[in-house]
Amino acid sequence: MLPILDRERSVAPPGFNRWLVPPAALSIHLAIGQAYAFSVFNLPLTKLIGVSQSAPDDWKLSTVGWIFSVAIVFLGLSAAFLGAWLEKMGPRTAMLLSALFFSSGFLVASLGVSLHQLWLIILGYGVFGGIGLGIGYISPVKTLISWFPDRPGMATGLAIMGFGGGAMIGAPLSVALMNHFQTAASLGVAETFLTMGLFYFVFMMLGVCLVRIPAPNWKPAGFVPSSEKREMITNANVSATNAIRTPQFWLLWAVLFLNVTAGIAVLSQASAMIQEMFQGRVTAAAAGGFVGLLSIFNMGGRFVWSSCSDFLGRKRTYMIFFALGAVLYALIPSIGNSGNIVLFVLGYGVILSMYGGGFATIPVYLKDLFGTLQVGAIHGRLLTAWSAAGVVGPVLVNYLREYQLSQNVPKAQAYSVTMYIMAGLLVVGFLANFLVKPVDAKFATLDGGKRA
Amino acid sequence: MQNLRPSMEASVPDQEVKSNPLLLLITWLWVGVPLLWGIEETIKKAMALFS
Repeated sequence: MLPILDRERSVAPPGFNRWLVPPAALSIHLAIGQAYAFSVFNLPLTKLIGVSQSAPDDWKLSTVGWIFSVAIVFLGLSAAFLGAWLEKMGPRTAMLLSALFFSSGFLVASLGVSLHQLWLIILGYGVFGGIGLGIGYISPVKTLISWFPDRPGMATGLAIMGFGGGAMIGAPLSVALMNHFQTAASLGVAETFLTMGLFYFVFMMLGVCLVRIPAPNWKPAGFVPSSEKREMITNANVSATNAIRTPQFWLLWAVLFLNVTAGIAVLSQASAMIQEMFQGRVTAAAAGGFVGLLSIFNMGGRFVWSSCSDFLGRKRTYMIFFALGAVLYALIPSIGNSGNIVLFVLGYGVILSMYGGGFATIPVYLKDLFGTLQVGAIHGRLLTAWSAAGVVGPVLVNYLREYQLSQNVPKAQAYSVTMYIMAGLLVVGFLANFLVKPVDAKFATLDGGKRA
Repeated sequence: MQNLRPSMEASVPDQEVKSNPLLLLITWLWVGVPLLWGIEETIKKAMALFS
């Protein structure tokens, strides 16, 4: 490994401004957040041969959908299996690896488009890109928590907000590039992938160059750790290996899984739902705008809720997500039926803010329960809940909808039943979060499991 | 577990080096400008909902 990547070479000198670290983290998360915007390539990928319309040899939309699914699965796998190793290597190595994998994924996918080989695109964007996503997602978390012991929720919220915001850059950038490279014989997808691979590599290198870890025992000026005993915040450290043996890990796995499943479910039907509930008032273009607006709530919620959790406590924050979420999910159909579009958008927005907030608050919840030592690796393992929810959520919604339509339930009402079932899932999440208690001292390592 | 400790403890550089405020500004612009552009594009698209 290059000496410049040594963990020791990443230690910040005295006088280093810790506010340089959030942009380093953001440069990674804003880039990999592009994954949320991959759907803009779905239709062009089905018309690579026919260009103006799909030719018989073109891929089907359902086949193209595998690219994103494979990427999300590899995100979870790489975060789970590489987390502990990345902890040892340090954030700079992790960020560089993320940049290399994510960018090379685009380059291989570009080759796949040029040769019209789907397996190459899946290998590139799905496997390589997915590994880049997983490594990049967890790489700055522990570093930020270490730099901001006074506001860990705000710090992780800032980075993970970037993942939500990445789609807002990725979508218009992809469209602009495809328009630029488009010719009469090509949709410009290969050139767009190539350009994005190079662009994101350069963009992510800021994080690689800038990131520093604080010196041992460093504390922000004027920061005095609270001497007040807080049951849900430990001073001990639990290894990633031990963490997965605790009930707390699996309760938080369930918390993340249920929050994400419900969120993905409503997100996946948002566009169709608003058009069918407000027939004649909301066009397809306006529904697209609605989904864009939801991504702003999703992004904002990551920062706002995670920052609030520094004051409210993590457990109480998730109590709010699940209690308020269950009420809103159950109310949305009635709000839609009342015809109040502003209230409908607002309700949906708050739901999506809590979906994003759930992602951003979970790493600090883990830090509170398991300590800082291997929080990145533990976070990586917990992200398998996201991968599972990414598969279960859309399947569950589609199955529920098809079943109800087959039972002659009117379209608008089919949404209602789905929302009530999702509200039920959130009640289960509430109970799982309620059961989270401090980790038993027997699981702690290194310092004997002392508690503050 | 014990063998994790040495790798987690890093040497501390001695010299105090104050971070350049210009560097701070540039790095925040590096991430802030694309993000604001993305938000602006999204809001422009979302306006169709209320028009």
